[in-house]
Amino acid sequence: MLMELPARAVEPEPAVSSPPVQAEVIPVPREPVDPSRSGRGLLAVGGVLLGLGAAGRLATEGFWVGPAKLEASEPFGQWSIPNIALFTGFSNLFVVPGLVVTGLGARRHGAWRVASGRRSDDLARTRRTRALGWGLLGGGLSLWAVTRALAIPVLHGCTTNGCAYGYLESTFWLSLGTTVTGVALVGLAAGERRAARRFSVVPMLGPQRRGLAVGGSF
Amino acid sequence: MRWLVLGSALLCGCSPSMLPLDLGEHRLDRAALADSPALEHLAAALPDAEGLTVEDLLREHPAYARAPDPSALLEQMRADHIALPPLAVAAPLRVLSYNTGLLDRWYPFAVVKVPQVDVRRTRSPAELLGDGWDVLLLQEVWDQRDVDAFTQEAARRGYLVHSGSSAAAHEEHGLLMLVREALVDPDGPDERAEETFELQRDIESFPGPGIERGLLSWRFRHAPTGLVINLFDTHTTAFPELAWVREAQVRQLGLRADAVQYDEVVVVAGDINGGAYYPLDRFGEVAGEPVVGWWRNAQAYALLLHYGALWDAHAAAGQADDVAFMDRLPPFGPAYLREPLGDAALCEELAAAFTATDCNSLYFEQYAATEYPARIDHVLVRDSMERVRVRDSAIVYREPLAEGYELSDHYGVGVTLLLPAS
Repeated sequence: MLMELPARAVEPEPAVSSPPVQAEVIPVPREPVDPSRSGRGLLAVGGVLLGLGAAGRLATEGFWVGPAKLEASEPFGQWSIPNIALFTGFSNLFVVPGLVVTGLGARRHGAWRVASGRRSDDLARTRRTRALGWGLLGGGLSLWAVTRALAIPVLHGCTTNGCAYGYLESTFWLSLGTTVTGVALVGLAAGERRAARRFSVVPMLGPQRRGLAVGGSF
Repeated sequence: MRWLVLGSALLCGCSPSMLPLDLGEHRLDRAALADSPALEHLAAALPDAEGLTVEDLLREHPAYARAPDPSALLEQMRADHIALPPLAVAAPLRVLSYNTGLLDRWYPFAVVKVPQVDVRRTRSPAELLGDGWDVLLLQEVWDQRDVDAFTQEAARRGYLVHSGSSAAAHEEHGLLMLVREALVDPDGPDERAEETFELQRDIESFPGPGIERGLLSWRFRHAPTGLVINLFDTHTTAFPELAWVREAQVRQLGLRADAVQYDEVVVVAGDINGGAYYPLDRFGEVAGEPVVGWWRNAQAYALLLHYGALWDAHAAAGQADDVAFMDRLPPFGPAYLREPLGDAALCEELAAAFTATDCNSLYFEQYAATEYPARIDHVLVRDSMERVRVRDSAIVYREPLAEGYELSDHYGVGVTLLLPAS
């Protein structure tokens, strides 16, 4: 879309010698596409970090089921709560940066897809993606925050391992899956918006007005 | 309180105290070692102990010139007991102190488990409650599921149970007391309490397996005799290098026992991870490094006697032959890794003296050649009015189960006390 900025008023000039007014629509040039900035690298790093976090969590669960021989029906040991917090915290060392890097990678990838023409510039679709992404991200993070905030009273109320570890692990995986999906969608939408929002500034010069034409999506 | 101390220490930039906060405030802290019957032998083994007080010992931890020899102390307890007049009419009270070894816990990247715990935890309640003990003071009943199993068996066999103020609190100390219900006067008193020791080996709690050492106590009127009995059950911190923690813990425990009314009987029992005597200061190896500090490891036993005005029921019964048995141990060497005591045949005669020893297959599996065999589980008594007698005392639960291993990695101490019945 093009928008004209208000031009500075000037004194009328003789019509005889006026050149034609230059007021035609000038297409907004796309940013030149750099294949090396497609975001795939960041997405790969984010995926590795998230994978390590998930693998770490699975290893923790494997330790509980394997060497520690915890069984769902057995009584839950309240003594283990600090260790659970410590142990499960290890995976977050990878998950948290993994989410950030994945989000950045998705954003770059979204911009690259639109800028390179691999995906059409569709504002409505981008808005839908963004809304869905924020919903999932907000829901995932909220689920994680609320279930962690409630973990102490819930675990204190648990009498079996099935209750305690079931609560922790089900909420972890559900919130992780939702949050990762949300981060990816929000990143993509942000990237698409960023690409579409790129604008150009073109000088306008005519007998009646002079100014700048700014092009882009706003 | 511990968090307050730690927080204050961090704020002022200094390290937390390795001593009890109130050290020096009690008259027993200021007693000269040489003047305390329970500590005299420690003074005799120190190069310059003249005027040295208990507080000095705990603050300065002077090095021993030789092994503190408790022979005279043990003999004196026996002689004092023999000198007591016999009771005209007596009611027996069978007391068991037993570390059940039901440890089965995890912490990040590690599992701590006493071997065969799955089988032993199913056997222990019926085995122990079926043997006719009146009072069972147990340690290492760490998990609530084991408390529940003991509680079920106790209800079936007529015992009352005290495991602490809550399941969460119990899981920290792992102590369990059971008293035959018929012996507890329903008219009271019946007061059950729990206390966490001020000094801890903090890593045992976090990120370790959630352990905080402490004591359980139970004050009740013994229905057959009318005597008020105060039971204490404890399990103090292990290992020679942590003597400073253990000594603070036994001091705290001893002072609790000392605070009991003069006319009431006190029974303190448990695994204090300290014996009365260690011939050599260096014995055993951990990861190729010699274990040193055994002479100081003998302080906890003596300090507990001192602070609690206690005497050792095993010694009173004439069974505390620690010195003779310990002196007969073969010199430490690689053979200790291959078989118990370097010569398994010795277990036949020496195992009767120790509660923690490689002669126990479960102990050997965990600690082979790393620990001095010793009598570290005790039943101690304070009876200011000299009404209690000891009929017998023995190291019990030494025989393997049908499965081929013992009921625990410790042996127990079983004592029959006699109380005056009117």
